[in-house]
Amino acid sequence: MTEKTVTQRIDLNELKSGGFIKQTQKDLFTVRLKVPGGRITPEKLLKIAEVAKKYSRLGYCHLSFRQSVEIIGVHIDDFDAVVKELATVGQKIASCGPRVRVPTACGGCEYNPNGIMDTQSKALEVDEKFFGAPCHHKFKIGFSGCPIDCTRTREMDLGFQGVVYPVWNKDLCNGCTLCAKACLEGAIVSDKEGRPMFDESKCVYCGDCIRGCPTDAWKDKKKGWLVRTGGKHGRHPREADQVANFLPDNKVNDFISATLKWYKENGKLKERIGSCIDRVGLDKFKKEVANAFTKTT
Amino acid sequence: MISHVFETNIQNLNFAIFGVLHVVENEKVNPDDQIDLRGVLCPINFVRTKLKLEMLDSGQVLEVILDDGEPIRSVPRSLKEEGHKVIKVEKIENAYRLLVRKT
Repeated sequence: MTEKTVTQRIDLNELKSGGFIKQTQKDLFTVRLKVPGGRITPEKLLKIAEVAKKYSRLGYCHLSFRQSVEIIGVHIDDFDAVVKELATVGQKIASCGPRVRVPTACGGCEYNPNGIMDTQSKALEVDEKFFGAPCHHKFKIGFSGCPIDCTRTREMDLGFQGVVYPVWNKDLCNGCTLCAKACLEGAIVSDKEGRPMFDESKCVYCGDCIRGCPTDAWKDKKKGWLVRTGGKHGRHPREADQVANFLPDNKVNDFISATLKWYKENGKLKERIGSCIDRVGLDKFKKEVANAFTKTT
Repeated sequence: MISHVFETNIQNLNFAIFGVLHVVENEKVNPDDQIDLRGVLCPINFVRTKLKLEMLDSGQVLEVILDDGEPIRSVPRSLKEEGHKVIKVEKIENAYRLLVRKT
């Protein structure tokens, strides 16, 4: 099949929005598969392996930087068959281009002892609601369960990171000093009786004091999401700005909707939200989007 | 004014009760077994503590000696996650002595 007939039959940009990416080799494409939060069942993995073995003309897959599995070297004539066979296990194709991408997430609070917020459920929910929404440029959302921030929310267009606010009950404290040992930030220092002196300005809200306390004198007062926006990588990386803290779990979707709306109204074609913020000012974003949420937090 | 005095008394009472409990617990506890994990790295120190605890009965107390730094930061937290209770922490030279009650 010649290049001419291929372009006649299928719009290449249309393909890209559907997760088929043109390769250097004629008529071969990378098929990017959707893996929200990077969690995938063995059944899907087996089917992907089977499909890749059958249809990858180069004989390999690639694990993308944002948790997708990509089948490399799929011939354009095999697209229908690939999509149909993957659909038998519910495996969907991802996307590229100027739109909301598949959300990424850390492993998850169900098995990671550092986890504060449930990133996996949130990634699925947000994928369901926002995936593919058209934007001025790519729009990447990520979820980290705790301040270790494995998902690197500082590199996301919109990143959510779990936080927990610790409170101390003096009646339950036996002065063991383990909280001061557990705190890596120097936010807790023990006094002469071994009791904690808490400096909130140094606290990153990780909850190590709560997990380390043997008498439950440290407890969580509230949990939520620290929100960052305007991060990106690429040729000109930009670290995201913190725009909210302790956002309640049930406000995440509203925050995303409000941010996308603001980006649509304030951004320009081919401009990432971080560049837009640099151009119009972070205060404008805070005033028009974030402040409405900080009242509730 | 009356309610304020009342609250203060309750707090003092609470403090007194908890204070006494800690003293009683600490005074009467003699460890049933002992493990010295100085020089043993994470997570091997926790694994060895866990194995030692498995040989004890519920309610018995293990004395654990841990290095300062990562071990004293991590091992007590892991013990709590497994449901055991650290009942005493004592600083000794360059290390810590813990009493752990098996769940």
